[in-house]
Amino acid sequence: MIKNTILIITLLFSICAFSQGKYLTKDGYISFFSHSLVEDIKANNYQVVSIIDSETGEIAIQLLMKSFMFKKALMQEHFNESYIESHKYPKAIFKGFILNFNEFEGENSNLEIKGILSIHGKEKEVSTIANVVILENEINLSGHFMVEVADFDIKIPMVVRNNIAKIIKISFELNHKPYN
Amino acid sequence: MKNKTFKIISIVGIVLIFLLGYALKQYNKPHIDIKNAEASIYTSVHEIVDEFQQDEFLANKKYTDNIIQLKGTIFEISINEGYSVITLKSKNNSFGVICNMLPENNLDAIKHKKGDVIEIRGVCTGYLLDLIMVKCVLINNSNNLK
Repeated sequence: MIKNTILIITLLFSICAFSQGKYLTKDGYISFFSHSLVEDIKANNYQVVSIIDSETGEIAIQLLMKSFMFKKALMQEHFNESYIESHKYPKAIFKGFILNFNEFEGENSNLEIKGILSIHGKEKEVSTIANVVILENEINLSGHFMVEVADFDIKIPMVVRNNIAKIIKISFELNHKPYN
Repeated sequence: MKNKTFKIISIVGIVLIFLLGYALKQYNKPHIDIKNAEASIYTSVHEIVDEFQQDEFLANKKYTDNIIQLKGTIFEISINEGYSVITLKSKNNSFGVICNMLPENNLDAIKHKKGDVIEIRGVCTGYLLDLIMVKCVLINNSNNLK
């Protein structure tokens, strides 16, 4: 009897703890990594905005290209001025869904995220498996996926073509809180 | 003849060394030193957020990538991956300016509290839900927010 009561209270608590609605982060983390024989290039962005509708699993992510910080100032300059053309295309946007979000069970699971990624004025469908953690008043996503530079019409000059990988690894860590 | 060849090789060699030195200097050039840099625009949180909300395209042209010095009231201080983050808000606006401080400013940042009026210098990277500033440094305290 006591065991059943504890079980019911635990279940009730777990249902109440995760409230449905919108979840937001304004300080999400996204990085990209390029590996080539000449050099490795990494840039970090700690000002990523992401919002999840926990009723539908819909997710929208937005970041400023100029918020990517590089180790070398020259790399940052070339990235913004020559390759990404941040003055013309200041934001990268992802809109999509966390698939089977409503069938989520437990605290931790790997779910597919699928949607449209828009960079440098070009759109491309992407999908990845993300680690999803749902805690009391938190939805946390982390993972990575690969993108081809050519898919986004980013032109790399011949002289540095060997310095930049054709396929770039994008990593993300987005810890959302309830948005009122 | 030998002398002429030697001269040409020497000149080409010197030019190549000069070019290599210049390329290396450029490759390793440091990031801008915000602490000692002069701001190109002085403004307040209210003014800058207002301009971005009215016309983001025009405001981007004016502010993005520039060193901005602005005055505002602290709404929140937080830590993100070892960097302190100060959010400034104006009295009349629900959106604000998120200032990502340089790590050497962490100790100064946490000395402040919500409601303090401060002046911050940093690089504007654009506007999402709030205006984003990076590489920020605290200038000094001020109690005269207009």
